[in-house]
Amino acid sequence: MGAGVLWDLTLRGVEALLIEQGDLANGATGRCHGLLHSGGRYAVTDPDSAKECIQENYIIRRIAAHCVEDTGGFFVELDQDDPTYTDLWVKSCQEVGIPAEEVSKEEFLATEPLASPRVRRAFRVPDASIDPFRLVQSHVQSAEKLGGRWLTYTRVTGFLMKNSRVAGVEVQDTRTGEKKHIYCDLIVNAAGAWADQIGSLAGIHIPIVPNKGTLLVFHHRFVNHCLNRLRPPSDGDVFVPVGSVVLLGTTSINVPAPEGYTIEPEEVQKILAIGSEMIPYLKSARIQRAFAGVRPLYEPRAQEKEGAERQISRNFYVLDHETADNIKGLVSIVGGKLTSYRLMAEQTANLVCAKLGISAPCRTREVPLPEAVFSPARDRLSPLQQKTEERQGGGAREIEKLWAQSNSRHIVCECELVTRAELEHVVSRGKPLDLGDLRRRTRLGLGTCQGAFCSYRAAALLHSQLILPVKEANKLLRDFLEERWKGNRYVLWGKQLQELQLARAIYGHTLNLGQTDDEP
Amino acid sequence: MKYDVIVIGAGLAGLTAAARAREKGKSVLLLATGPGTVSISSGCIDLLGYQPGDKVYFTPEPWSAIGTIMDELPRHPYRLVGRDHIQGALELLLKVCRESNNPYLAGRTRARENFLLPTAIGTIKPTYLVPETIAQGDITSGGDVMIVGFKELKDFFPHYLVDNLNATLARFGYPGRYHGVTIELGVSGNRDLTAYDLARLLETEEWREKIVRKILSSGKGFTRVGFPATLGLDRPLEVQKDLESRLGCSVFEIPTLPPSVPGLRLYEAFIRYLKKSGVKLLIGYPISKASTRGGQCLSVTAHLPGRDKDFSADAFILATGGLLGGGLVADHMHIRETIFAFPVHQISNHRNWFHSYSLLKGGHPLDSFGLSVDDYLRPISSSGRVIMENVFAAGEILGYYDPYKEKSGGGVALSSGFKAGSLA
Repeated sequence: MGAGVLWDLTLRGVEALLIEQGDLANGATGRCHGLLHSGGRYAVTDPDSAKECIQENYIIRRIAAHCVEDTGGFFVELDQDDPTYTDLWVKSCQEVGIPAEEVSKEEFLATEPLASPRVRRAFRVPDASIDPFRLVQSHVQSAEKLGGRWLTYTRVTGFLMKNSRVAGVEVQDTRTGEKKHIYCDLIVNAAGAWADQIGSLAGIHIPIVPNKGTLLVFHHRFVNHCLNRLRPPSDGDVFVPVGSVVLLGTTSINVPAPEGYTIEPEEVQKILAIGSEMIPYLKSARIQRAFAGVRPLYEPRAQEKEGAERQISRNFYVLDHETADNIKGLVSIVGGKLTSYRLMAEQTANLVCAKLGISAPCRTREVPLPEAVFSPARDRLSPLQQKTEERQGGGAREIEKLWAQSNSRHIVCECELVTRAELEHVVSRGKPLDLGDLRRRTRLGLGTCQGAFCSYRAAALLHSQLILPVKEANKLLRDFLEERWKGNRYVLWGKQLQELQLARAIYGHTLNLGQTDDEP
Repeated sequence: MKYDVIVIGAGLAGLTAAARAREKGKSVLLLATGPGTVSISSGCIDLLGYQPGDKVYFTPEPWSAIGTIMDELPRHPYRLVGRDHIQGALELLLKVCRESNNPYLAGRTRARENFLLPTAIGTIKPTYLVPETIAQGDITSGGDVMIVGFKELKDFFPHYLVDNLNATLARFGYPGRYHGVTIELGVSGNRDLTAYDLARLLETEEWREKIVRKILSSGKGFTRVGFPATLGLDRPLEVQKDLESRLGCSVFEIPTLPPSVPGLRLYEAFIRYLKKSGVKLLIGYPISKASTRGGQCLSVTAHLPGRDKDFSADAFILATGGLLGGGLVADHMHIRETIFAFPVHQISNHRNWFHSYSLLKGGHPLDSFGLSVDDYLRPISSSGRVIMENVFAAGEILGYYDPYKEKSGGGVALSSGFKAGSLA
């Protein structure tokens, strides 16, 4: 969300700085389905949201084409589902303008052969899959080219107040512990599930309910389209094909805080049970890992609702704390979903500009992100070139030049085809990085072997290339492996467990890592 | 035709069992889905690296710790196998490797202590049965040691290794100083160079000379020089001796990630030995099921191209491995044995296998899951009844020990394979 606001403001000529407590896409954005909604999911229950979705869907396909894979989607009714809901859904889609074209059961099964024969009706909708990491990176990098700035691993620890106006923030580098003050005219609180924590620094309560959603990542792409069940939105019933994998989820459980939650085995079983109604095959499919994110649901009580500056929909709110709480210079954007991020940023920036007396109009609707450009001869590129371009956009050309050197073309991660040159390219962009950051920027370690081979190589490369002290390289390696483990231990059976045992044989036996607490 | 013994599995346990059964004069068929995990291992065989319960210090010599295990852990495979079979297994292994011009050493000293070897990441690995080419890397030798890496080889990082190793040595109070150097071979190709490729290069005198010149131009006066384990595939001792005479100091290898050259050498040594001694090998075909009658196994079925074929024998040795080897398979609730459906000692419900554990530190309940067997290594039911009179189990498929924590996997595979081969 923050990246969207940064891009919007920068395009309007506002000097803006993004502060992120972790890596980019650290919050809900990086932990979602990656579904670019057609709006079909909300057509019955929340027509306003549905309308926003379909409108934004078309815009995002244009401005961020490099992040979107036009998989198309289906809404599917099984023989155990309530047929009257389907009729209501069809009518609702017509009302909000979502094109939903019914296809025959045979046609649907021909295009999704693993779907249950208990399908009764199927409707084609313009759902798509979207890569949230690239989307966020593209926004900040595009903004950077126009003078926008961003800081990662920087936590806001306090507001600098002048009278009853926020005049800046005190921030702390979470790696070095170094604190500094940053002054500004206005602050946008786009901290998602952490929005209340930020608000509390100014003595404001923002009623965010952190709501955990767990997703499963399957090892291969066994569906061709985003698949939804034709019934009121529920757990475990959306399939999204992303790259070479399929995501299935999600659950919905309120949690006390946006951090420190765990995945429960019962959630995994529930998702598998519900998902297998539509795709029976998935009971035997290989699962790579499970992950969870926290939705920042905004649930004001009635009187608080009235304080909200503008109620655009029941989906998201832009809060003006000057009118609501008598604190000048602070605006919050809360609620919402990935598909509506651009509209949320637009509405937020409108309020910001009104307050700053800037009349520049929003341009994010028309201006494509500069990276949304692929090589014209993409079909003739090798798979390695294609993968590199998908991840690094225009940077792929520089990386290819490096491949001429003897070891730069080494494939560090065979599963995702990440070369040494690509790692060096990402590292050379100057931000402090750990293996987790590299993973998000390159997909290192996200494939079949889940880091068994590349973790060691990448840690050693960071040590030798960056002259990273050996203790830090070891810590990165250990943290990276444990982080992968956190994700896949919930779904370890079958082939994925066998794969893990291979990783344990390498790190536990051949490298003898992890025997002692104080080993290097 | 009916064999005396059919061994299922081509890992360390199966290979040893087949060699032993043949040594005892039996007709032997070895059936396996593929090369076992020995081919991707470091090629060094651990006997016992860490005493159960002691997480911090590796055990200097494994024998007294094995004695403790035999006294205190009645179901541990070492207790079931017994000292004589462990000793016999070591001797058989030494013989197999000697015949392949890849001699191994058992124990570091006359006191039969563990070797303390540097790993590719610069930790110290206590292990017991070690190829001579690797044994000279033992860290107690000290001195000024150069570790050589190759720019073209992506799986070995000498500077990372020596930075870690120097810190480790200092912490444990061992002598010696390690230095790293990366040399460029100047080879290029359409794919990445692996340890296997490099081992092929190092078999030629021309490349050894080239490499030695580069090493000597980057520094002299070292007491030892360490290489990634790539000193040739078939005659590592010759390659080692040749490099030693050219460099004027002793030379050793450090095991790498798979493809692991010492692991492949060990596998090949066994295959050559078994072929020579008349064991019939059928490797590459999955074994799907067993036919049994009245507590006896009659035959097992292998999935050959286009058809299934039954193979019968008087006795069977089940050495299909654990979860990595594929002898055990898990779904989200249970772990099962794949051929006979023998009961597997386990805690049911996946939830309890992992949840509060670290990946690296181990101690996972999962690691000691496996078959329960009697003193003759025959799988038994929960009531202690032998299920098949003529089926013996060996290797990682056995339960009640933790190969990850103890570093005992190699020794258990070797010795239980040996005992199963003796009894079958």
